[in-house]
Amino acid sequence: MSDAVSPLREPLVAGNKTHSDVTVDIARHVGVRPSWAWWAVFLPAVALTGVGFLAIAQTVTQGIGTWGLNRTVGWGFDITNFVFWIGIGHAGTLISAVLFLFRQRWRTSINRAAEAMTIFAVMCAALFPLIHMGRPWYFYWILPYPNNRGTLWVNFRSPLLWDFVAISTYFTISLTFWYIGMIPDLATLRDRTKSKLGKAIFGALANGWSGSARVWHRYETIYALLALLATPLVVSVHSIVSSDFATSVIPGWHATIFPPYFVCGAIYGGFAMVLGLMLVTRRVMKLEAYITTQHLNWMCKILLLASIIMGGSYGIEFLSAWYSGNKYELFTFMNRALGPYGWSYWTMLSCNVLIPQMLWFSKVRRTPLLMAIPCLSVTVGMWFERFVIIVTSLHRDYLPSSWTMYFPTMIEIEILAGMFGLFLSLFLLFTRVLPVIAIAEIKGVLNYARPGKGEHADDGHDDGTETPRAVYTSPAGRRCLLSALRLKKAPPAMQRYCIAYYPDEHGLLSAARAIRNHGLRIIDCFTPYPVHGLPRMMGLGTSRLVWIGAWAGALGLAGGLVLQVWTSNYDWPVRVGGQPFNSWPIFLPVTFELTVLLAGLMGVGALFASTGMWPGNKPPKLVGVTDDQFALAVALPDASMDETTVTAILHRAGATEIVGGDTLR
Amino acid sequence: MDHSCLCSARARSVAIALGIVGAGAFLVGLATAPARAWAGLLVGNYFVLSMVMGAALFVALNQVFGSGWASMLKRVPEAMTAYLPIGGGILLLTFLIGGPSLYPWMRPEVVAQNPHLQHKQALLNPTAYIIATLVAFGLWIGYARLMRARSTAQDRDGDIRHTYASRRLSAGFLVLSGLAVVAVSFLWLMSLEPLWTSTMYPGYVYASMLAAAAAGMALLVLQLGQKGILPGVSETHVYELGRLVAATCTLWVYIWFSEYMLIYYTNIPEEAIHFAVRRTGPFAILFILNIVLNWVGPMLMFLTERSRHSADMLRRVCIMVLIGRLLDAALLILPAIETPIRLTYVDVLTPLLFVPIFMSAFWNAFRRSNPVGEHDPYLVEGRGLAVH
Repeated sequence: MSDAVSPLREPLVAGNKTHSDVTVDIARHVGVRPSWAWWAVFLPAVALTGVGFLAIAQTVTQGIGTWGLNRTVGWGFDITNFVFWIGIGHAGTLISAVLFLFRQRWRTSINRAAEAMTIFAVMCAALFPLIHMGRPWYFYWILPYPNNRGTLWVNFRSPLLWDFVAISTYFTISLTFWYIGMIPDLATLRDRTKSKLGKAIFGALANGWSGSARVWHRYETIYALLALLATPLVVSVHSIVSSDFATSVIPGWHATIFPPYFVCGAIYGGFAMVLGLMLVTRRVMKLEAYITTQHLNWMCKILLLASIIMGGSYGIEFLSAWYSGNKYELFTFMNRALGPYGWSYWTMLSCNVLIPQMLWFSKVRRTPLLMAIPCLSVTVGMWFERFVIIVTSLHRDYLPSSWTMYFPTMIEIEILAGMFGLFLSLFLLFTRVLPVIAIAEIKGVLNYARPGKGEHADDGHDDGTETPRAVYTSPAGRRCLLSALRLKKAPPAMQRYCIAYYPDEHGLLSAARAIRNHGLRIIDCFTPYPVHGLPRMMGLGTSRLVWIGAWAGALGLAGGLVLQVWTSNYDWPVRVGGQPFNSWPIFLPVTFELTVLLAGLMGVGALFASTGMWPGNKPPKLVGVTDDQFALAVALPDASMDETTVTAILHRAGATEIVGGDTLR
Repeated sequence: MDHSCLCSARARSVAIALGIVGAGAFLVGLATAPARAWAGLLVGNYFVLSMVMGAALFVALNQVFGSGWASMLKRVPEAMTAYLPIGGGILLLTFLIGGPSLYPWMRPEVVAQNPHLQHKQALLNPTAYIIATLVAFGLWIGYARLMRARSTAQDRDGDIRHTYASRRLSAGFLVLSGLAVVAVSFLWLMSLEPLWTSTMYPGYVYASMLAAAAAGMALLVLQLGQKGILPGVSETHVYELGRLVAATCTLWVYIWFSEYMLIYYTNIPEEAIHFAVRRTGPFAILFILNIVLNWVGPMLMFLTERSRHSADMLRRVCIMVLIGRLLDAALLILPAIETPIRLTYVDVLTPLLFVPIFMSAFWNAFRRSNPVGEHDPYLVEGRGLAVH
């Protein structure tokens, strides 16, 4: 992207923050003693979690009979909560992946926290199908593996199995995406922290991250690959959840609109939760400069858009129920609105469609206290939406003699509350041990649309008053550089080298240009964030790592199809729902998930292997490149040019410090 | 401006010849198989309409989301909407004259025998059809005119308030157009098979509009760029347009698959019939070809990094997608007159009639204003696109 931005754009970071300010503002919350206010929320949340787990223990020991389910209403709070939490878990990946593909740079302030939320929400969600199994200790029976129960395979036609595959994949890929995005920040923390324990933990997790431009280049490729994979993945997950309902023949559940309608609902509920949490977080952690009112404004607009789509979908469902001329369908919808659970329908409608319309007013979109109202109402409304879909479609079925009502027991209410407690506790812990905002990404957009920035890319500092300060390194310093470059032994070409430090990317870029123009070789650059244009200047071509991901994906695709076709066609042919043994549309969901899983994991594995980033790698010691320094390592030629000429070039571009070395042998 | 032209004189005569062939096929069809002729007219008209209605949606989306990259190209979708009044006229004509041969609910003797159709008469009647069509076209044409007025006024006075006003206008249009798509997708297309219903249908039509508009817009931008009429079309614009085409095609295939899979899975006879008549018979291959042209092909062609930066590849992809969109329109419409689906020369040739009509409507509108909106505040981003 070019530097030129429209005058209508607003800066993404308020105040005149420097790179170093960004590090300090965000990292200072990590690992410090929490305030009393934090404890005042955390302890009750943990207590609530405890209550929830006691209720779960009772469910597991005594059985599902402790719940209010009956023969007519077989799904109640359990699946409502499951769909609700999975939905919440969609906003994170939407923000990280979809907005990344759409190049919405404002995502940088909220993606880290939103992804954390995704992971915690998916954890909460996954618990519900597990405890609903009745005998959760046999959960592994849902895995397709050759077993000694005869040639008994899992039913690949069951959307419940798709759910299992989709949610496992989603959790794995989201966690990977989150971790990959966090590596540069973990390195920042590693280099900042004073405590031994912190150094050890962050050091182990940062994989020896050095900020090398070569590594950044590959890292960005894989990050984009993960975003590309996660985007259809996030859509597929809630589509699959919707097919738990839509593949049935129950009026109110079987509607072709369900997949996109569920995805939109998930984004809606998830965004309301993200916005709600961000409203509190930015206030408490004093991050208003990073999560500006402009960010809140954008999130509000997405909420508004989603609320309109949701309203439209409710309308289409009703219209179709009438239009189809299907009496059962129409009855189900009339019963939803006017039957004994009518109150929940109207709660859903007012919370999801009516109240959020206040977001049309720009005043609301810029006032945190006001926008908290739609946030809360949408969270309530989206929970009720799932309740309405599940319970009202079931409780009055085709056979009036089996019509009944469903009321949750205390146990179910405790589990519901307990999961909110768990979610909140995990989020609160997250705010204490990890950076809540992506430090490196914020540094990358720091100058976006900022007045007076981005124009002095070429004005080398030509005053010539200062003399270059060359500090020749000790053998230890030489080893550091080698370890930063991941080389055991220096290649002949870089027998002599020097490193110049710059305070900003413009200095680095102009130095790199000057070095190239003088025919010298740039060994590597080390930067706090990926500097655009640098890989090209260093002569790095397009990374081919993405092809490894593509081939792994092809393998997953073939493997998934072969597994399902073989088991359903040859090894264990069972007629399900009158479908042919080989029904490819039904095999596609699982195939898709396996494709994404393999492509994502292999892509990340290839990144680690090709850059030598492995957990527990020793950190290199280039000063400040994970904070606010931009370093450039130049190979010195043998005789044609002496050091002072090179240091003069480097200095002219604005180097604050130049560290030199003679031979690396 | 007056000396330049959208395409060479030879290409223009080819287009006119195609139009004459289309008109001839329509007239011959009218004499031999009137239902087919009207269906062919609807296929061609709906195909172009989906493209230009989608173009208006892009104008609105770009405004609302402030997409800087497209600011330099905005006159192209703006000019595409010039076809709207023509398309609306042809659509109403098709309905008023050919309606009874296309829509079963327009035949009183059929309705009298079917209680379901009687139930649906509250929506499926000529008055509702005409009112919904007029309202939809009023909305689209009104929006396009207002946007065009703001856009050209900004060329003259450079006032930033035009941008703010267009943004508000676009937000309102997006909401209303969504509602309108629900209504017209039911009436124009779904009621061709009045006993069948799918809640996904409006979404399907909406996605088709976006895909058709993206491909059409990209093709026109490439053509105008090559002719030098639209200066500054760079490799990055090609890349971004390609992403847009790929994204909209993927949206369409997602909607297609969701609908197909759920209907295939549950296998309820009155629902499954919709696909059964499309994937059986001598032309069953079209069902697969639809997916290949509209999604698999473009994805394979965009597989390598180099192909995504190549204008030639994008042009090929766009042509493939546009043929795919036409086929999709045919698959939606033709089974209404004969099942299982069958193609004849009338259906294949009649849509050609719309080639010169659309091209001249577009060109007449495009050449009337600056090719680039000079004072658009986002232009600096759209023009300064570096190779990414």
